[in-house]
Amino acid sequence: MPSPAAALAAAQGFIAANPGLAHGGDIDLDFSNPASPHPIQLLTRYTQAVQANPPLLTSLTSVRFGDTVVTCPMNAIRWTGVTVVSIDWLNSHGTLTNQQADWTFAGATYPKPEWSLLAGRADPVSATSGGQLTLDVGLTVAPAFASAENCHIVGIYAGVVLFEWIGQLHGGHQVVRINEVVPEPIVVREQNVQVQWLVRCADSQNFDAGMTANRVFLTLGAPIVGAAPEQGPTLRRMEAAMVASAQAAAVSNDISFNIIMGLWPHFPDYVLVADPGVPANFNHPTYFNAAGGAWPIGAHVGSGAECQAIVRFVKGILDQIGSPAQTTGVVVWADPNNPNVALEAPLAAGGLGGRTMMVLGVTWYAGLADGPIVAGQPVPQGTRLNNFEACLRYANAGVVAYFPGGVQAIRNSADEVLRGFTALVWTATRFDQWGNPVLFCEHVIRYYP
Amino acid sequence: MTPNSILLSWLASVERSDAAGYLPTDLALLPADVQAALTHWGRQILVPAANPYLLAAGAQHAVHLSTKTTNDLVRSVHEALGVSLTVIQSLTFVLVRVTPATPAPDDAAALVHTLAALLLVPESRGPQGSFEPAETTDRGPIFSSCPGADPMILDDWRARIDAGVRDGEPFFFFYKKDPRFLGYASGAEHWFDEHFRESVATAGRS
Repeated sequence: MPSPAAALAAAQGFIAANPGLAHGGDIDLDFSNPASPHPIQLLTRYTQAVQANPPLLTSLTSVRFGDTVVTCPMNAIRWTGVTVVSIDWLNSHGTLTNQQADWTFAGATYPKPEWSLLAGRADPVSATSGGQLTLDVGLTVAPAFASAENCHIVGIYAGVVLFEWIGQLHGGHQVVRINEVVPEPIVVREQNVQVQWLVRCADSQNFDAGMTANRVFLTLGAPIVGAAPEQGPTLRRMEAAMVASAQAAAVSNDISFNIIMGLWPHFPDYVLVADPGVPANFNHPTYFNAAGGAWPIGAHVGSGAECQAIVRFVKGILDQIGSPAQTTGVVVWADPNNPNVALEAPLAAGGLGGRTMMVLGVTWYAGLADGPIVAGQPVPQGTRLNNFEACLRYANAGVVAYFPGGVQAIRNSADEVLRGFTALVWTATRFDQWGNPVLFCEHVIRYYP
Repeated sequence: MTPNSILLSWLASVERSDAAGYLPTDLALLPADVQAALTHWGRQILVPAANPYLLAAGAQHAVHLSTKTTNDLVRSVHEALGVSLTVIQSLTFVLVRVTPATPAPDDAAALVHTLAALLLVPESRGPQGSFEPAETTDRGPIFSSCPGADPMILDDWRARIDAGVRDGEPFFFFYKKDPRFLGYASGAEHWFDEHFRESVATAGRS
């Protein structure tokens, strides 16, 4: 007769090799190997072993093995502990990379599961807001041969039950799918989701299953990956996008629009001269570079940028958070032959530049004045003659808006942008006393509005 | 007014400044926006060895305060790549004067191309990388990367780059054209802020 401990160990090994046994299910008996111990013999020993340890025994249960019924204590092994060992975020976009050293779209995507006790990992997650978050939670119930029990699992975050699951667990490792109790609102924000996991068994035992933590970036959709250098989700970019989104102005129900409204005041004008304070590899102010394109603008806002770079920067943020909005850089102007009609074209593909006519052997140039101007007088200091107005054009859910550069106002149409000028004029060049070519207003084609 | 008349007017303006004189200064004393412009254009136009705004160049810097007929200017002089370079910037242009170590050859076009290859980054040698005859004046020939382009309506500073030989001295000329605007800013004679002007004037009197 083996000792109770030896019998218990032998029985545990057998049960571990036959998981169906622990649930009271049928198993195939292999009688072809006479050297192996007969399962029923093992169970008998196991029963004896457990009976020698009364605290483990709460009741006896009949288990059927084919045609054989054995009374054994399998469903009577009480749990001694529950531990969460992994969290797999099923809503994770799965595209976020761990690149944080610079602004490039590089690095490796985070592996699954995003939280692992064994691997010591707690990786960031990006997920679309506005729905229920779903987790595959890996749990270990001790002892491994513990019986199945009905239980109630809750994940508590910030004092409220964020995740909840009711079902049956058994000894050993298993994975359960747990949903968020209340769907997330549509938001863009970072949350450090620290969850305290508690398990309550039907027999009133309570277990602290441990704490898990993931940085979760809630977005409007999956980050947009494309050929543009600003596209592609990385940890550094996502962090920057969250900072930008946190400054969103609360002016509408459209989060993307609010983000632009929050960003735009930081760019009161375009900059065409490089700031030596910006690292040379960023190629300020164009931000045409292999160092992440326009993303570094976020760290050098005070240095400004070219119009096209600002547009790329804003678009990069919106793409990072999976915004459905369409953002493009455009120029708006009017032709002297049709001064009331606003024309629109992509950046660098339109405008009045080069619109001239000869009048009595003198070249006249068309320009859009942004200040006071009178025919027959020099263009006053402070009034510039523009070739166009460069804008960020925004379109989302039927709403179109124009954000003119250097103008802290929103226009609803290209026509409104055009009417932000004071006039469309013909000018000619003369030299001033310093030898500089200055413009003289020859004719006002049209005053706006 | 021809496409070359703006160049000629600005060259004449600089020569009036030469006559009026410059006051030595340190780059670090210049207004921040002026420093930024100098650095920017130096890097845009010149190869590093010819860039006077790099500390290693050891250039001598001086300013000319605008008068009733001259613009605010910053002049930087140094020796590099076997030539003497004088780089003069205003708010609206960059003039690079070159004094070769040896007498200039008669073939001005060849000289301009040789110096361009020596001193200028490829982007600042014009779209085709070559200079065409633009005009012959009594003080020497003028070349341009695009002789027909009107400097008032350039959509990019690279669209027209001028060069030439004036009184035997080769030069290159760059228009600081902002593509957003027609022409150049009025009031361009004043590049320096009043505080800087006063500090220079005070230093000049002491």
